[in-house]
Amino acid sequence: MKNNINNHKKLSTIIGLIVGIILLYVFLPNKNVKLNLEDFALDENTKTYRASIENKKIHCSDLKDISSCIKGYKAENKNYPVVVWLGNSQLHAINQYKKGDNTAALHIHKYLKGLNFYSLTFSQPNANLQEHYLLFAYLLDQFKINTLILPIVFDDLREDQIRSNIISILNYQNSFKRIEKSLSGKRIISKNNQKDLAGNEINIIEDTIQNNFENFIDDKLGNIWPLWMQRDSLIGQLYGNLYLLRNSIFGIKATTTRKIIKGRYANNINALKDILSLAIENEVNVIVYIPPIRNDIKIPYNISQYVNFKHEISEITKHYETNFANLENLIPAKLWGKKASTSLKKEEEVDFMHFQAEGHNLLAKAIFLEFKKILKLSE
Amino acid sequence: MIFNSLTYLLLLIVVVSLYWLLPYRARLSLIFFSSLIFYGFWKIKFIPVLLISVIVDWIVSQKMQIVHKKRKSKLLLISLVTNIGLLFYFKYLIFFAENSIGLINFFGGNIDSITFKIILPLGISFYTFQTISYTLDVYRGFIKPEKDFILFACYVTFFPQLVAGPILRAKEVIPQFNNRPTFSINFIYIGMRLILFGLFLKVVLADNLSILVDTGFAINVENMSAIDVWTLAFLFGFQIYFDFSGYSFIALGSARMLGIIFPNNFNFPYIASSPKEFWRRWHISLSSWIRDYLYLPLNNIKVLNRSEGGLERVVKTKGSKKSLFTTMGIMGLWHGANWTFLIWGLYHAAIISIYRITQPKISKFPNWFKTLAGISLTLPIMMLSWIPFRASSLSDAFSMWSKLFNPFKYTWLGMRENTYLITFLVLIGFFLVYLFKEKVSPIINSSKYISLIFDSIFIMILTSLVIIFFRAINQFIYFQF
Repeated sequence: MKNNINNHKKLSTIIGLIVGIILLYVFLPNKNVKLNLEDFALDENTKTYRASIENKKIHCSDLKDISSCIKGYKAENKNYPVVVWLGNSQLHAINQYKKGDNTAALHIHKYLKGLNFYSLTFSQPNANLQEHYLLFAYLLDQFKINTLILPIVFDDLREDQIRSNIISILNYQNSFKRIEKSLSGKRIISKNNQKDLAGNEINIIEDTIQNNFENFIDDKLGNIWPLWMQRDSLIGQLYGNLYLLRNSIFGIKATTTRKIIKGRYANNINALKDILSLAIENEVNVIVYIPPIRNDIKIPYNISQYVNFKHEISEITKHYETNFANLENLIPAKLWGKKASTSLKKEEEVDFMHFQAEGHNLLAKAIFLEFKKILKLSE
Repeated sequence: MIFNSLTYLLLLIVVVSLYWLLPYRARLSLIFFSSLIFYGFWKIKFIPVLLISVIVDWIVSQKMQIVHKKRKSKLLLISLVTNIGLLFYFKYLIFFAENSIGLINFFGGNIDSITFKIILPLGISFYTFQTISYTLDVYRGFIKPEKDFILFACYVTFFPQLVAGPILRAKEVIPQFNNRPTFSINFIYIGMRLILFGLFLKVVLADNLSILVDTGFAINVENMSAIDVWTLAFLFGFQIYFDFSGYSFIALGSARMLGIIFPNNFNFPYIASSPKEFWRRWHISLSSWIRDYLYLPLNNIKVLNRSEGGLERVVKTKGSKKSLFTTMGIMGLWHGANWTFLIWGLYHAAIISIYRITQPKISKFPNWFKTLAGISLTLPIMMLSWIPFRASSLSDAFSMWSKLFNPFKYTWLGMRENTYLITFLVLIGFFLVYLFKEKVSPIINSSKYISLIFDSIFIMILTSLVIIFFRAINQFIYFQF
């Protein structure tokens, strides 16, 4: 048990501590740009746009801004039946964005308004069906939903994480009750339960003196040392560079084939079934659709898995007597675009997920057509 | 209070500054009261539980000195009943009640389950073991009871080791408090380096791995492949190692800043070439405690009485296997009131037993082969032990293990590709760091300037990463035990 440390180690400790802090300033991204980790995969070619009409938001993300969409609807004060469109970044990203471009969410809102319906869109990057399930359960308590529009994105069935702004829906008693007995609800609850390995409450500092004091010092430190508050941007930059490095080493591109991940796929399919059951229970019409994908080049999926997937979705919708549309070939090749390189090489890559503004228009028209079919049926 | 928080760092700065300015008596009072503040920042209401343990053991040990042997045993019993009673009430009562009701109902009874709301006081398993060791040492005559209550209280409640160890012996700590260390800047430098390294292990490595581990273990077991089970075993093995050794380094560093030297609690456990060696490198203070207060006494063998060495002795007495399984089973249950922990302990007992049987046959091989083959076998076997430790139920643990023996379960991947990649990188990184420390570091240290450059870069990287990832969100895994 030595207590010796030579002068070099002392000196290197001081140098290391000082240079380590300076290094953070060197690598700190532009202080005015707030890095959005969720939209990391989007780039300068693809702009995120969530529309508002007459200062009323009609396109939101999740619990962090959901209240502005709900407020907008309530401010309308006309008790329109609501059409909810859930989806991933395809709904809020416009490729090769030009000023004045709009998303499908805005177009559909206008089309439906003409029929005295009010549409609200909620989309998050790489959103999975378990997240849609929670969001749908939550929205059922906010207003009377007439129709749910639900894209089933093959890529997103590889996702399993539920972001914090959606998992907190479990804190709402009504939403919790809606899902607690379903297969995926049980799974989501147990996965996110607040117990540790030994069965104790997991967040030991919540509601403690330490928690309050920690928040207090954290704020104070942020005030006197701005870098402290910008650490999320640094983490984003670090992860971003690691992502590019990984892709460069393994030659991963947007065109690289993604296989399904068995467990995650099953969890998301179960969530789809639970969404459809919940919709039936609450007399909500559902339009399930296979979203457009760029089809003039080889798609980045295992073809047989993708074919099976489409067949399975079609069968599920038949079982639940739900409307189904395959829109995979809806958008012509010219309306798709490029995205920035996903590796350290600077060459542009094909974007399979996000299309240009005209594509959004086509998608809105196609969905509107499906909606009108439902109206006809119900008449 | 958790170590990876600004609150703790602030407390440490204040306590270290005052400590070296104050005279001796005041220093002890400072440590005692700052330890209570440290503990009370979590939940004040559990301070009396901690103090009960301290006061009872202090009184009992004082009395032991003045009574004859027969009464000594009674006093020991009072201490054991108090400490184990507290532990049983807070940690095992619900488990015991649930299982008893289950058993009664299984045999035809009809009892409704009882709902208890008992919160486990932080660190109770650690400080009760520490006080038990003290009373037993006094009983055995290894140490004289400490007359100074504050000094004794400092030994039990000393904040760097209060909530998650290391579980130290009185003879290792009390004399250090007594010796009144004089200030040396070395204490601060070494302490800072240890804390920085501990924070790196916790906030950069363990907390980032925890995201992958939590996601992985949340998969339905039926959808997991055998490759997933292996990956998760390794991944959690590294997470818990970084987490707990990170905590231990911060504890060592904090104590060092106050002039108190703790022995190492971890020493590259996954480099072990046998299960025996693993327990000399993993949670050394606990395995040494188990050795001295359970395993050796059960075999009627003289104890070693130090918090180092782990389960190093091979005992070949009649009934040693039984005592090994009992000891390891208790060690498993010490971690938590769940059958999964018991299985974890028994798994280790079984592995040690198999090793003891095969050891004579292996000894004729050359050393290099024994080491290489030993590491290659011990590492995966030890990693697989983490499956019941982390799985949410016994059936999940057995289902996961069973997949390993089914060749058809090796045909798919159930997690994101990154998970396998990161596990592989961590595994390679672990061995590279070990080789660097053993082979390259001595060469670098032989040259002043190269050493200065390398060490500065090392501290620089650690500092940057710790600042970026420092969050008081994730508790240490061992806080729950």
